Amino acid sequence: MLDPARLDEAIARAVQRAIELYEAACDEKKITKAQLAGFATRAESLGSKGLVELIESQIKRNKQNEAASAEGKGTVRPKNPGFWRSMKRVVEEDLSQISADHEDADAVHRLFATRLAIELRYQAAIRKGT
Amino acid sequence: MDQQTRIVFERAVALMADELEARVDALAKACEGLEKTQMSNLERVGLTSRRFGDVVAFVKRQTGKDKGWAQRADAKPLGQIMVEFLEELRSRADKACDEDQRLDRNELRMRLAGVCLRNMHSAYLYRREVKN
Repeated sequence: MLDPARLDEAIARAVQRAIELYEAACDEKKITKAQLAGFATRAESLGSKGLVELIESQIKRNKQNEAASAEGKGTVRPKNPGFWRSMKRVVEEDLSQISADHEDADAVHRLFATRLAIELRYQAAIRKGT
Repeated sequence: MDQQTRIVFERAVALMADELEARVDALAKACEGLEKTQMSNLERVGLTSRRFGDVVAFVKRQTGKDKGWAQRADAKPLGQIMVEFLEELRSRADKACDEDQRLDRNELRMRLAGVCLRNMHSAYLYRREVKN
């Protein structure tokens, strides 16, 4: 099992990677703060399987929107499939490695989601008015 | 931890806490606008958490939701100043552990945070009382 200090550092790196992805997607106006904050808040209560499923459902919804848009039916334009695929990679690669070392995948995924939600709100608060 | 290492550990904590005394006092002054419960909760988190990241996360969470932590001191939100201070504690503890392999990284981080946040809470309460 990972000691608390190493677990902290590993989770902080995964959160940092997710935040960098978010910021890049945000700059390209492909995702909004509310979308990711909503995801992080919902993800807090999910375990490892639930977190991957939640991301997959986002990817699936994007595909459906894309198909509908191609047929001229949809009103929502898919803007962020690349972002969610990258997020899935963070969860599957980084978190899976941490989970393998820590032996408690659900706890690792929940900690990641909690820290991600906190980091998003914190970043928003410190940028306000700057 | 054997007795010799325990002495080295306690000495390292005491020395670092002494070095940080002025910073802790300055932060207590900057925290004057916070409610008492915020400071007592910060101390409690510092003394009871298992991971250092939980203490940082507590400050970040409060900064995201509490106006007191988001207020500016020295052109930065108070929460950001506190996060930077905690990161400094972490790097000081890590440096001490790199220099002496017998010290436990997590335990030293947590102990230093606990001592500094307890001192900060005391300084905050003292300032508050003297001011009133």
